[in-house]
Amino acid sequence: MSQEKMLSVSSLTKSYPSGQRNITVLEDVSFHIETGSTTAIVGPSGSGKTTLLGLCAGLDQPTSGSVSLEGKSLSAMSEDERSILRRLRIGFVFQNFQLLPTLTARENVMVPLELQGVKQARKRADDWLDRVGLQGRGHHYPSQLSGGEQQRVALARAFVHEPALLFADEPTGNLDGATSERVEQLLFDLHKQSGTTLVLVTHDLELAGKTQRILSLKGGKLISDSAQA
Amino acid sequence: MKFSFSWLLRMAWRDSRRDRARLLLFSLAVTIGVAALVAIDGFGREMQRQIDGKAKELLGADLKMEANRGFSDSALVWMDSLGGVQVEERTFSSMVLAPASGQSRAVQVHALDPGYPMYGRLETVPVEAADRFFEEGQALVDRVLMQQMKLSAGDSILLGSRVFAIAGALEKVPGRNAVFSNIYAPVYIPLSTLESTELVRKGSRVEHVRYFRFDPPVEVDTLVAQNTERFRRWRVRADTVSEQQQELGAAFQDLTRFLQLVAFVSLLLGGLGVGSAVHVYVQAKVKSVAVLRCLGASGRDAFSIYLLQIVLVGMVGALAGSLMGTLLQFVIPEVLSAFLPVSISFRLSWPSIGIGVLLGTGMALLFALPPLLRIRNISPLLAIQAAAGTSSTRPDWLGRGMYALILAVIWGMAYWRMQDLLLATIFSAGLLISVAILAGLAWVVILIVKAVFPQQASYLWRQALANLFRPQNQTLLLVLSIGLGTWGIALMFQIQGMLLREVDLVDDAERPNVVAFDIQSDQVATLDSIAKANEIILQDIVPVVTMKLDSLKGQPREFWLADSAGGVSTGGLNREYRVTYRDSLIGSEELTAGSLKPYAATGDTIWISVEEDFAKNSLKVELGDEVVFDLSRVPVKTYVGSFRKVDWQRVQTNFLVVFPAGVLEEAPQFIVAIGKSPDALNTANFQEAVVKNLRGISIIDLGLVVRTIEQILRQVSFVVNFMAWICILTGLLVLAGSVWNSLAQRRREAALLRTIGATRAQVMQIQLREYLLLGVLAVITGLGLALLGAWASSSLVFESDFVPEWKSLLALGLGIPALTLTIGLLGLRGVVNQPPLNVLRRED
Repeated sequence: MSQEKMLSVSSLTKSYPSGQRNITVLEDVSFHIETGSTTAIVGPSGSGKTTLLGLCAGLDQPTSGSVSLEGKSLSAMSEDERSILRRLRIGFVFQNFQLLPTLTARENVMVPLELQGVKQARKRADDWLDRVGLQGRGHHYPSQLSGGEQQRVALARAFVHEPALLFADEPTGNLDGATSERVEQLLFDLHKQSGTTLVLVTHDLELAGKTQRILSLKGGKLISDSAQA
Repeated sequence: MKFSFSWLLRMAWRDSRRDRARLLLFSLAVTIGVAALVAIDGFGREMQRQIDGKAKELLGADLKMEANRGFSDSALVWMDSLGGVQVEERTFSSMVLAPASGQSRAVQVHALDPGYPMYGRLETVPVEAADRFFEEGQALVDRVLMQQMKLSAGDSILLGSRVFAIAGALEKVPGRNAVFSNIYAPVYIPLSTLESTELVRKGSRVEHVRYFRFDPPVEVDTLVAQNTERFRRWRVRADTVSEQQQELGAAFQDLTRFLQLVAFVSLLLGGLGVGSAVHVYVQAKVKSVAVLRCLGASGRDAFSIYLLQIVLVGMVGALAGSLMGTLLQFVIPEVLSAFLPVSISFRLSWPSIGIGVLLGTGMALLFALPPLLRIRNISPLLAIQAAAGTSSTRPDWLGRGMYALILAVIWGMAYWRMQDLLLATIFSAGLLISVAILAGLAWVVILIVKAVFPQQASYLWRQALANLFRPQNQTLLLVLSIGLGTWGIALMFQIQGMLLREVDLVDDAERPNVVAFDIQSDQVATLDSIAKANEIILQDIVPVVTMKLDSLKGQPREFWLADSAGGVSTGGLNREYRVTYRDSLIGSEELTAGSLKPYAATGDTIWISVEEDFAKNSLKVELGDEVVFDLSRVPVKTYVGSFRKVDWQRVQTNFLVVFPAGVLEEAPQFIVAIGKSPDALNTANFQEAVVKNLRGISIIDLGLVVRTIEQILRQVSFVVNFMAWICILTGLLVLAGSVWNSLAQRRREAALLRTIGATRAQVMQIQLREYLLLGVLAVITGLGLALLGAWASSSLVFESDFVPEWKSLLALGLGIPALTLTIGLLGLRGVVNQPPLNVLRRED
């Protein structure tokens, strides 16, 4: 496996004003993630996991410190440049699926391709729906699909444009045990097939255990890194 | 990377899937305003087209010259020298009697030579009557008068001493509208028959008219402009085609501009409705936008998707409005037919439709932009963190700038219609202030209702009230728009009622209701006895002497005409003064300065009394100033001895100038008498007897005048009500949109309430009470402002007592809440019919 750095986080701090004082939700967090690896960020509720994911994906700006993706600093980029970076290099899987409710399953999968101006979007979307086991369901709206099916559409949408880095925020948090297992399996299979770097945010230690590396957060601080253990 | 327009359009279309009906309802908010604008603009254009196309028919000639009591010799010589075709006309008021039925009426006699109109024609039934009445010495009688007097072609009428056969009914005369023909219906007779009627005697008030047609054409406007001074000297009025065209054009432009501004107000309300609906819509789209942004769309891309949706929505609403407005163009000419000097037919006006679509779309977009612009700042973080805010902490200057743009567009629209910087500014400021007052009043009413709402009221009422103030409520906007419409209608009812009460006073037991004029001194005794025989008491028998102004404060009239700095009005200098003589005041007068000084003997100074406002504003005279009148070419030197305040609303013979007794008794004069008749039958019998026995006297039945004014007011109020209903309809559509917008929330609430034990009936009652309360709030606001406005206009403008029109107010007070209730009910169908579990599951 390549040892190139996909993601570098250095002295990352994020605080929010709350009334008269500032609340620090992330404090001086630093780590690197290698290309093609799988990493889990774990920690109890309120430990700053989702904030860290948002900062790594360029969805928010840190108070101090820096995030670099494939060697490019996100802080130096404009809002639009970060959008383009997400469009081309990043994929997302959300805890509550976040499919666009007015779009069919196929159209949801097509969106990342259409955003890139890809011509064969429909065919590729259908291929991906096949790969996640939803052949023939492309015309269904999210409300016509079960939770597990919705998350599989979300996985197809996350992988369809072959991102370099995929963030998954509690990908099985809203699913029952059996469905969770199937979605987890699919997620890791797709990772293997595509070579995408995978960053999981979860408080499910069993799921975290399936990754190559676990970063533990508590009170906004990185308290352990299995790679250094 | 920029996305193709087609992808944005595709996304806009896909995203609208679940909301199309709701979006369509938003679009309807601008529909009504656009419909009114298109209809009025189309009507205005067609009117202008007719006025331009039939310009010469509006006057019936190239030039029309008029003079009260005849042209001077020098004027006649000058007119004869102009050449071309010239046609004479004499007009005066008189009485007509139908011998068969004995009915009589005051009419305007037009004694005309053949050849007029030189352009267009007198429209008659039968058509050939327009020529036959000249050839056979017959009369053309106004169609409405013929219906009222049950006359038909071939019947006879008596005019003075001559019986005329009726050649036919007069439908339309070039350039005249039908409004006042009810009081003074026109009767046309050949000029050659005038003498035989014996109606024109020395001192009779007859207007002389001469029409000209120039062949080859001459520059009539230049001719008139070059001779203005001369016309003033001769006391002659000149009317040209272009003047008539301009006056008419200007009058109708004013009317259409006023109506358009009202329609524009409704469009603004619609725009506000769209804006507030989009505000709620955007709130519901936050998650989708955040996800799109996570997937790599920029804030601008997401904004463009929803911008496109709203542009399309505005366009659909505006197109529907244009269609509706085009259909409405059938109605407007019918409503206004009595006021129109030309006939208007339906015509598709593409420019009006274009303006409607552009304005409707623009207005929807303009008001939608402030909430839409917020989309640019929706943080992608919201897809993973519910509590995340906007992606930018900088102040959104573009968003704030939109409000400035809205103000600028309102001003621009007003300027476009009015073409006057000051008026446009006053209108825009006035509109803002009115909306602010109404919004302030609505806000205060809401606060009071909240404050005084009984805490011990049932749960259903308290929940209904709380619903009105739910997050993202549109209560203020709804109260504002429905209140504005209610205010318009209520104020119209109030003012209409006030005007009708004023004119109704003539039916009052005390007030006179019959006026007889053009009475000669030797006819007074006979008239009085005829009146007594018909139980009519002549209360006022007043001599009237006509004279002109000769000089003022030692300077001839011409000097003042040339001296614009002196401020003496042209009207005051040129008018024909109808004066009376007496040594005392009458009931409608009050002395404000000086005293009524009697005339002792020949050679004594003549002290006149002048009406105060006229003295100060028109003649600019003070007590003691010299005024010389021209009485049949004899100068009469007088001095201003006193000022009087006159109550012109009292049905009495009121005068600008009153001479002392003893000066004018021997001058040519006629007498006016005012009387009180017990009923219409006595008035009719009196009229008939007077026409038969006393030549030249005209009698006006004031009851008929009242009925005519009522009819005009009804037509005017129809137009105003129509415009007010446009505002109310817009408000109701905004209400429907708001109900729809809150439907998901309501379904969930209903399901929750039912889960915890509320019955369907209870849930429904909460909703019903909420809309009832909303209607009541709007009505209180609208009626409150209307009563305030009516009180202000009655005391400041009409100077009459303020009496609330309780019946109309009650009808509105019940009707508007009933309407809001109905709309609410229609929107809420199905909310309580679904099993709670379905709703709760779906909303998850």
